[in-house]
Amino acid sequence: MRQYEINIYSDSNIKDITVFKFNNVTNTQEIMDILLKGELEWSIVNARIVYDDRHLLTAATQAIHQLCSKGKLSTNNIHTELIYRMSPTTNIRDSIKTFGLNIEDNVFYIVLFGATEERIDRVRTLVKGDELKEEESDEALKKQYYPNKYFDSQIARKLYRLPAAAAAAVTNNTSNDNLQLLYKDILNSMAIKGHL
Amino acid sequence: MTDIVVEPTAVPPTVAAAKTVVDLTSLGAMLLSQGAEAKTYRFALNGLDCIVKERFSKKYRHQQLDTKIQAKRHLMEIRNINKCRKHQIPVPALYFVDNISNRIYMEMVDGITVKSFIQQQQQSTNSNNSNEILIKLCLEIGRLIAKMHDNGVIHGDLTTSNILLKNDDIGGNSKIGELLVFIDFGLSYVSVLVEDKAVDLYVLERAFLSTHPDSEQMFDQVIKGYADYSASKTKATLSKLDQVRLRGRKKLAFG
Repeated sequence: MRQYEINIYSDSNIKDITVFKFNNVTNTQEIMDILLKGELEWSIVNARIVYDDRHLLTAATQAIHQLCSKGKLSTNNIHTELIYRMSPTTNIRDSIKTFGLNIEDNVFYIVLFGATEERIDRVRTLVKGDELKEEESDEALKKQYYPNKYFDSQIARKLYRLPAAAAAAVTNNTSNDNLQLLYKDILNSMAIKGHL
Repeated sequence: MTDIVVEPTAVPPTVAAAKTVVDLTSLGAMLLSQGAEAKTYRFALNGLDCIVKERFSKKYRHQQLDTKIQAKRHLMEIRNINKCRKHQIPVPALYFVDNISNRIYMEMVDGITVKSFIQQQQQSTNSNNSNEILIKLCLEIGRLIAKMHDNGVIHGDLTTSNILLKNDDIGGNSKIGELLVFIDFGLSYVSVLVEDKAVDLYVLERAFLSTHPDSEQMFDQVIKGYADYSASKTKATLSKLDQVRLRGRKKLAFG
């Protein structure tokens, strides 16, 4: 569990987000059922496309921006708004389907806005799986905002509609450079959403 | 006599936003430069090293007009940067677009402007025009501008200070073209007209010649690079450029 502050808007009453990452989750079906009833105030994000915590933070900032600029969200609540902001498309249904929780997932991120002790406990009691805690003490990882080892560049390319040709054009780059480039492209396609 | 009813005027967006917007410097942003139109800051947005371009309102302009011009330039900048990126023209990646305060958060490009690079090179070598690295650079600039024009993007403010050179080892000059980054699309627009493209090049020529002494040959290389991109596509633009040179940037509206 990690907590981050979002401070670029002064009149927003949401100032922080809490990020959990779980793997080996055994009760996805159960969580899905409760989620669909609309009882969980969580964003559950598909871990395959999350590059690192900054990626989630950017989406959260955009969700808050939407709330502050328009006075209302594009989706029903701030939690679905975060998932919607992760996606490059303006189709809400599609976004939540692909970037949210899928029934066969056993690895995912959970993001809470303005979390309280009580809500954090609820996450830990409800989700039956391993919360990834061991990384948190690592200072080097903290500096890099915890890169996600479940990130799948193939899936990300597909979902963000970034053709591999763009990366192939820069042939003499190392794979790490390519990954950085992909990450920038991902953030770029999130940023321009709704401006075209 | 009927009373004169004063319609309540809508609150201008800039006023409405004022309470939401947090001054970036109070969050630890560093002011890099201020131009006529915008301020640029260096800021860590959620740990992402970025440049923030913040357009400020101009008090001398009528507020409605100001809001309109700003919103338009803001949007065009975003669209055209994205369009260039899509066509593999090197531009900074956008990280976050803030419509409330007209801020654009984009990728931090570590480097120097082509303007200061050329000045450095000219100082270090006396015979500036025969400098191999500058010739290569200018050819590549020309090629990229041609590519931009081919995709319908007119930059609108091409100068050597609006082109950056990334700070990776410049000594290895074989791939200097990969280090170029175009910035400041605030005056850019979409057009496929030969006239617009020619004027865009003309603006660069004027900027080149006025900022860098003895740079005629360098600009010739830009033109050469432009023509090399695709002879059939750029021929019309280049012949138009000769006409533009004779009459200046503005088209004669009469006669």
